[in-house]
Amino acid sequence: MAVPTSPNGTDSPYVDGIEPDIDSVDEMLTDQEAEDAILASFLYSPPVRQLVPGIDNGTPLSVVQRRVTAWLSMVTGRHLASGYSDPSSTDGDNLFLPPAVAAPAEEIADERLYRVMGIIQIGLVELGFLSNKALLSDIHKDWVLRSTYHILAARAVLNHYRRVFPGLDADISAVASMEKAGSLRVNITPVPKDGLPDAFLPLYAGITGHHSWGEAGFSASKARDAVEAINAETNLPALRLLISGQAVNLREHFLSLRLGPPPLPWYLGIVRPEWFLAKMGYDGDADEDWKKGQLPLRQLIQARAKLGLNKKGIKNQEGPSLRSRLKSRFRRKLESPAGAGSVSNQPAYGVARDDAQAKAIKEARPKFAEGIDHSIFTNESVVEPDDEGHVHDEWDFRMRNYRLAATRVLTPEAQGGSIDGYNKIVQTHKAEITRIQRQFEALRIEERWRGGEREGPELDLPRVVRAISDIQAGHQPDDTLFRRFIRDPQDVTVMTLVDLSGSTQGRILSEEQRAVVLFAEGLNRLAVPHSFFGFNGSAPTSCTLHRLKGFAEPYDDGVYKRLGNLRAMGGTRLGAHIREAHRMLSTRPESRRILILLSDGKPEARGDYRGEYGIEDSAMAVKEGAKHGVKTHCISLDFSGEAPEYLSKIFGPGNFLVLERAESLAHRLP
Amino acid sequence: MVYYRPTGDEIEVFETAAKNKLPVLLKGPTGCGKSRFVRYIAEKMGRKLITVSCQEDLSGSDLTGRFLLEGGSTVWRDGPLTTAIREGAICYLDEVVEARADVLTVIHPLTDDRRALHIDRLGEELEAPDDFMIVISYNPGYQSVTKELKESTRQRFVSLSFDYPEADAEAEIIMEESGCDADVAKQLVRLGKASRNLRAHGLKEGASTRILVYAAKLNVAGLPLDLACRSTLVGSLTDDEEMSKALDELVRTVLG
Repeated sequence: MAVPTSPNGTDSPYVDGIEPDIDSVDEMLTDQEAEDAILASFLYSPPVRQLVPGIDNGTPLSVVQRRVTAWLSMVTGRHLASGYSDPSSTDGDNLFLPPAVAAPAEEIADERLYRVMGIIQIGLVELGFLSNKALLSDIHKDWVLRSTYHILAARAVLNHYRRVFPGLDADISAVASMEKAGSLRVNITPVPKDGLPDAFLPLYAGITGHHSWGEAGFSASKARDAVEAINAETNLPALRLLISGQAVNLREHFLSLRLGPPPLPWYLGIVRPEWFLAKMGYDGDADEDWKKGQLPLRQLIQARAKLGLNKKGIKNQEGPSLRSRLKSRFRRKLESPAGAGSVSNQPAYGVARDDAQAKAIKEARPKFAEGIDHSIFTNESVVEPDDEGHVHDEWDFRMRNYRLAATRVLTPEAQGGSIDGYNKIVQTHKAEITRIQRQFEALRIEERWRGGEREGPELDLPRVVRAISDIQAGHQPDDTLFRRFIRDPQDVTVMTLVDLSGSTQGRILSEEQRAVVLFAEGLNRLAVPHSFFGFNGSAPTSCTLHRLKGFAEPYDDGVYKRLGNLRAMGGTRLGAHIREAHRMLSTRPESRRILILLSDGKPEARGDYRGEYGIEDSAMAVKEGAKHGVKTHCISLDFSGEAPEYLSKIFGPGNFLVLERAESLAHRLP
Repeated sequence: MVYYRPTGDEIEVFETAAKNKLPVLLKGPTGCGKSRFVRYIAEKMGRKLITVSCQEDLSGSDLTGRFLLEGGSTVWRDGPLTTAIREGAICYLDEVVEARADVLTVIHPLTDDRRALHIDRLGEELEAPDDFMIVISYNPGYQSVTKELKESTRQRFVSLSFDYPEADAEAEIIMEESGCDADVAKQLVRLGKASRNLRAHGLKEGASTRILVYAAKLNVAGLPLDLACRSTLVGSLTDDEEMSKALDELVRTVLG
């Protein structure tokens, strides 16, 4: 994997504006290790445009993301997952759009801008402008060629979709005239609009409203010819050849005029040839020169190395190695609420996003992450997961946006204990269990009248008439003469999460323990697919759902041993646990999915995951689940008196129950 | 004759199956022309068509027949399946997965070499005439754990898969059915195709040919095309507000 010039929307192409000290690369790491480390560092960076209310932000992508993504899928026929990057970009599988556009916030206009940014990126892939290895290798090494090719190809994409979809013509024209869409930059460095060389001006005709090619002089003729030729051509294979050729010609022309790369309007995004090249997988005997980075940068590195200078032209001094500094930075990020930071490789929502995030992290940090002692991040014991966990976002109400890939939830099997723990509770709570089982049986999961039943509270009159007719005709009548309310147990699934954070230690844990056993007995009687998980974990990347009973597991000794021996530790990063539960429930075939939380109190964990932050994140997680058909209810064992207020915020009025004792479950169930 | 535009070799396969007295299973998304095809082929072959829309209250005896009280006596009334056998008709069970399991038990003997129906109340064994044929249909997209056509049932049928027609064919169907002009049909086809890109990625189903025909009919009757599309496509495809907005925007993008 090459070192990407990662888009991050700041003036600096580097994470946090800090350039990795490339001098140390030669000293401390192999090239591959350095690339992996720097790439990991990029991937764990925070979102590029922090959304602070009232500060220079237009409509956040999250507001329009679902419909924009759906629209792009319909129009292009490509189902690209979406994530954040500023400027917009794509790797062919994922579409990266800025988390917000610049102010002012005008939802309709901003949505249009997102759509056009999306269609340019998808179009570059869909129309085959980023599929030629040799071309990608060339534009990877040469910024003048890259920018020229990009601006010409984007024009062709816009022309194409204008022709195919009449309604897009007005959209593209409107976006081209938007001030914020047309701000110019080279790579990610802003460039003033005034004073552009004449030679560049024709490139912007029809793409931005701020430049007129009519004013351009003689030196603009080559660019004008190129643009005219592209505008006139509609055949795609011919267009691809034409644009490649024109881009090379123009590059030579610009260089002969001692010009650099033509700046790109912001909404055209950025092209990342290295992402495509990496996926194409150059074989051994092919040219892999592109992997070594851009030529000027390499020359600079070599020159500095020869002189023994660092990036500021100062002689290298002793200090922590790049590896240790990256480790330290990585650790800080893991401990911060942003957690694993921003993995930009993200679909918009749902299971696909989680999988993509997990995959991105796995692929991005193999050597880097493996070299880290996880125990330094947390005082909790290192969990040996039976899977690699799933990554989830976390809602930051202050930023009004998600912290991307901020948490990771593992789902190992819980430790068991003696089976006596479970049996003892069953023996001592027989009466309550009977009541709860009765309550569960009475739960109206899905009831409707169905005729033609052998038993039921009412006669199915048409069938009775038919039976009488059969009898009179001397035949054995059908015995399906009744109708009754039926429940479809296969259409509902229940997942129960038990709070095993350290604060439950003592009385609350024992109450939870009893409640779990009573629940298990009730659900077992109800015979619906269900599962039990305990949850805890303070650090964002060590949230854990301990499997007490999986959906597919029958009630056997192993399950009873786990259910009857709950252990508490850690904090309550509730949002992450709810999201993982929703993810698991979303894979269930049943149409009704119910999540029940047994908890002692507020969502609180390490860092600033407390107070409003934890409540807002948890509430958002509950809302996300509701969108996917998961109903979340909470049974709280918080005796503080303030529970109803925050539980109502998180779960909504009527979706929680505050119990004084586990035994009162039977009386208090709805 | 009912209009049907072939999209492949379905007519040849069906007629060959009919000649060999084999039952046929039609599968495909909603509104792609399965039922229309059965109506067409029945008419083409000159056979009576008896259609049964299956639902979960439909039992085996509903298909075979029942005794009814008339005055002081009982009278046997054939069900649709028995009628089809007696008359040598095509019995079409639409959305068969919605029916109860005993319906499939009833039709099983009619789908193999026995081709017979035993009516226990009459004590009668009805042998199916050569012209009798059983056709079932279902939409694989609507299958679930609880509503699934068993393998043992599926393998009794000659299977014909339907999907939405190619663009030109679909435009031709829309024009023929609604009387709209070619430009309108072309725009509707593009809309339909685009909406199908979102099938299983936000929409359960894309726009069916049938709903496109409805939009065209509304337009021919005087509604502006964008309003006709919003009234049919957008409203019927989803209740999700965000998806509705995306579809709304798609209508504007395609129609201009």
